[in-house]
Amino acid sequence: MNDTLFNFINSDPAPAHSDGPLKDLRISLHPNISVAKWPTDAGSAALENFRPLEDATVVKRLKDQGAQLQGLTRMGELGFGVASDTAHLAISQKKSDAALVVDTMGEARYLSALAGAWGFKPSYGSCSRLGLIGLVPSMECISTICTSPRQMADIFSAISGQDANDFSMLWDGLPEFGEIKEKTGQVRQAGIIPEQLAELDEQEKKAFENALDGLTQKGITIKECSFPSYPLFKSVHQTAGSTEASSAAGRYDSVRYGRRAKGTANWNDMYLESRKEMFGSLVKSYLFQGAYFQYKDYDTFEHAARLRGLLVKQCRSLFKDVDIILSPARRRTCDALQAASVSDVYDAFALTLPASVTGSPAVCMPGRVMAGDMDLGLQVMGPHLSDEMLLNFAIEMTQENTRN
Amino acid sequence: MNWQERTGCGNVYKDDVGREIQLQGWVDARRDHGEVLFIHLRDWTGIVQVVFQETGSKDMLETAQGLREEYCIEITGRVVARAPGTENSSIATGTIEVAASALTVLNASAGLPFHISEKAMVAGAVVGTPANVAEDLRLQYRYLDLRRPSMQDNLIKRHQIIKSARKILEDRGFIEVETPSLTKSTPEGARDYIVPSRVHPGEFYALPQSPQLFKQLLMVSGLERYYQVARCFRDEDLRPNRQPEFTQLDMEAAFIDESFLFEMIEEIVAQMFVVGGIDLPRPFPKMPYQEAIASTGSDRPDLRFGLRFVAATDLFTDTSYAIFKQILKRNGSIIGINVKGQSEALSKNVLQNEYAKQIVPGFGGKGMTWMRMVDGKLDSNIVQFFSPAEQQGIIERFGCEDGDVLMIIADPSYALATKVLGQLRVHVAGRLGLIPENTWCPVWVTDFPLFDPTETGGVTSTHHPFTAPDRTDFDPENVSDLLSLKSRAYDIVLNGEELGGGSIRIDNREVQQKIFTALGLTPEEAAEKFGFFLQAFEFGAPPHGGIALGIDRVAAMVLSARSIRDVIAFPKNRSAFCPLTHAPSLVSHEQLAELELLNLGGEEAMPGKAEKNLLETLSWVSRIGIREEEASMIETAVDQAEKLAAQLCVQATDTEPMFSVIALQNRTRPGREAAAHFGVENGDLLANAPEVKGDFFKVANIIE
Repeated sequence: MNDTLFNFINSDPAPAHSDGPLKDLRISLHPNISVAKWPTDAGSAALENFRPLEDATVVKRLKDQGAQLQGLTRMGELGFGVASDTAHLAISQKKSDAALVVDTMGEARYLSALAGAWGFKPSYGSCSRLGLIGLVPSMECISTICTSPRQMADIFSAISGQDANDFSMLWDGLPEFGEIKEKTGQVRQAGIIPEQLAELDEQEKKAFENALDGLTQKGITIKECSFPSYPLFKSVHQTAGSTEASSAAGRYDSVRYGRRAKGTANWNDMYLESRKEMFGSLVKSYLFQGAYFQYKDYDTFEHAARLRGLLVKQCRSLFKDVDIILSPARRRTCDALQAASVSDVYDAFALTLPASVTGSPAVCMPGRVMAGDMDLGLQVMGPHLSDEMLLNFAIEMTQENTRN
Repeated sequence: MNWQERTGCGNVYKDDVGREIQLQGWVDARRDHGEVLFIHLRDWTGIVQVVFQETGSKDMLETAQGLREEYCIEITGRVVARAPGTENSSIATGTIEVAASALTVLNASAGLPFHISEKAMVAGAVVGTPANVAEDLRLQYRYLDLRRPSMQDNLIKRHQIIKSARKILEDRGFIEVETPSLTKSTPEGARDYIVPSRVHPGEFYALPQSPQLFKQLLMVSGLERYYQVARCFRDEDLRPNRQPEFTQLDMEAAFIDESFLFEMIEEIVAQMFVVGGIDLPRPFPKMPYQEAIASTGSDRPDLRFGLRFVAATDLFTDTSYAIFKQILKRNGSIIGINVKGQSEALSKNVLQNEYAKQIVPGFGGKGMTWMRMVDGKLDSNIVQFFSPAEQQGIIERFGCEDGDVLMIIADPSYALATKVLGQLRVHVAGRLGLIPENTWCPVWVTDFPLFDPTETGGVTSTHHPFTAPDRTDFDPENVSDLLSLKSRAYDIVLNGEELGGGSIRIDNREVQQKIFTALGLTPEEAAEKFGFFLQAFEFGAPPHGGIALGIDRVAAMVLSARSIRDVIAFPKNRSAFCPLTHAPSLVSHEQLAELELLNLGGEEAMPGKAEKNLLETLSWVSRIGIREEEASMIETAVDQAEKLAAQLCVQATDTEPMFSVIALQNRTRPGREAAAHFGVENGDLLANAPEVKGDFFKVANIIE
């Protein structure tokens, strides 16, 4: 398949059920979300020629609801970073109505801002991850880039909910999301984190303040919420994320799938050489960081997990005062598409990491945080499992826009 | 409750109807009918149904409603007969039930990683089997796995198997003597597990591969009849049905000969199998090693089916078939089997593309010749190369009839030809269902060669160097004389599996020295290796011999267990790892320092020692090679990880570690059963693999 946007194009996207709520919606997918028999290689030789045996749960649900699955876009290797990603282009070039992407550090939010579209990362544990070929199990969520918030809500209603085959989901207490009924007025208080905003440059600050003004005019109160531990989000994400990646990537061993190095003398050699060949340098650097924590300094990984617990606790108490937390979704100067080292990648996603670490849902709204003609995206983060509220809020904001 | 008042769940009978009894045990399963709640209560005597009726006290009913699988509880109740039509034939107590009047929860149980119950609460209902539960999960929660009645039965029967052997041995005057576990390397020749000594820094004990030397020393001591249920250790390459430690029933006796041991072992083995309800045919036949090899290609012959070898070398003396001609020129052998009446199952395609091209090469053979008998004629891809006389010779020699299939192996080496055909014989029999079930064919294999030739023209012991030869007048310098010696060793084999083996030992110092000379050891070298042992034989050693039986394998066969792990309480998994205790595991630097193990390797990196190159270590432990051009990038990343660690450790917190925002519930969800993935059933699981062999993923050899 030789297409600049798509790695694989589905020649027969018409679904078996064509009258579901997602009827005629054209959806593209990241190639790390399993669709039976599609070349789902997650952008890596570790999964060269890999074709899943069955659909991911979310894919099954999309098909059941009548969506047209168009094919697989391109993605950064194993979902680490977005270099060579094309999901946002499929949206901005109107090839797709929506894209399913995996959000581990903020990819869906970042790419939606790039596309000038809507992005939504749901709460960790609200959408099944069965069939997600991932790298950082405790952070990654199947997320969406959409052309409207209504669409975003409909897709979420379709794909969310209990999956008895996914052990990482909430066992008890997962809300039935159902249809998003467009309740208004649920969000009144919005928080901003001064420690987060301190990192922005003048132009970014200005753009963000303009966006806040817009919200104030719609009756939202803005409140400053100090969060002294904020700088920890990045180091905790990187420590825990890389360690999980090192552990999870153990499955890429060239035995059941993936590229096998030729002519190796023994078992150990086969692993060493195959894994040398199959991983690109960026993801390999990340895996080595993880190997350092996994094998040489496990205490630090455990400590990072403690700090993660602390961050989650502090975030929870922050949400006692405010309904949502606002920030831009991306920096003006850090280009994730060009990020070539692990620290570049982390710098580019600095603003979106908190929701990934705490498993919180986050929406990215287009057209509000404008640095010149560059859309930085307005990130709206809510407490864990407040997905419905966030989606209602997103819809409410567009409706008022049209009224204005 | 007073323990004396307790009744076993399996010990409640029809006669007890009307009696009030007290039970303690585990909730095996529950069935809630609204007004009536039933549970199966289980202890190691069996299972009984307990019923909680509406008429019971409110407190008790409330507690009963809260009962879940594997709660440990205590019940008082009256035995009642079940109403006709509600009996449950799947449990022994199925005609009665216990109407509870009091209930105490002794201890609640957390949610289970897998179901334990093996008995349906309603006659005829299906229950989950452990076959679907991943074995490592069973081993991780072995204490729960062992709650299952079938596993308890295995361990109880294993105990009975050993007990039956002890009885026979003790009736014959044997005494049990324990020999040390911390000892010196023994002569079995496998790799030792070694244990460092703290008191003697840098020196090591070896765990015994068998009690061989000690039991012979006990004979020198005059403790004439010894036995032991001995734990042995061998650090061998991994095999599916091999454990790093295993149990032997080890025996040795003085002033006896082979006939004593044959009679006794036959009795022991027969009684062990009686525990599984199996009557072995007796007496066990004897088969000389040469015959076993010539007829089945194995010193562990499986005699449950035919397919005996037919020697055919002499038929082809003048053949013009080039391959055979070449092989015969090199003094090779041509042997085959006649698979009677199987030409439908063994099509040309199967014979040529599967057997000749894949299976036989997999056994180490260079090729296979096949012929099928059709309409009174041989049919094959090469039959035209054989003269009519040769074809007639083949038909007569193999007794060919229409529908027969001949599989023939030709090789310059007799040993290789018989080995390959032997494996082929077992493979074909298994594939075609020619191995009858519930058939038992024990056999003594005797007259082993004392020595095997080495590649360098010398000899090496077939068993161990203390095995007695059949004659002592040999010339230790004459290799062909040595290779003609037979040993007084014997193996007991059942259905192609070796249950044990032993020998009459050398009791004479001079004969022993001749053996060492034959093996190329000078008296000094022999003294250095086995000094303490040889010295003992200078003090009037008695003639003696013995045998050892592999208890794990015997128990697995007696109980038809799928794996020897099913007859061992706490086994290691296939990777010699214990998922329950996580052994083996790393030890602290301090522990290694105390044992003075840190500097043993000189320049070599040792465990615990600070590595010279962090990158190399990480590359090795995570098995990811580094391309030259990416080395500096990865080094930068690892540097950054070290900095990150330094940065994080400054931030103190005593919050519980959160590994995921949703605590992992590593459990089977209610109402779900473990099941094999459809990809296993239809073979799709192999579809993505870079290399496959048969039904397996193919990987490189473990060692070069």
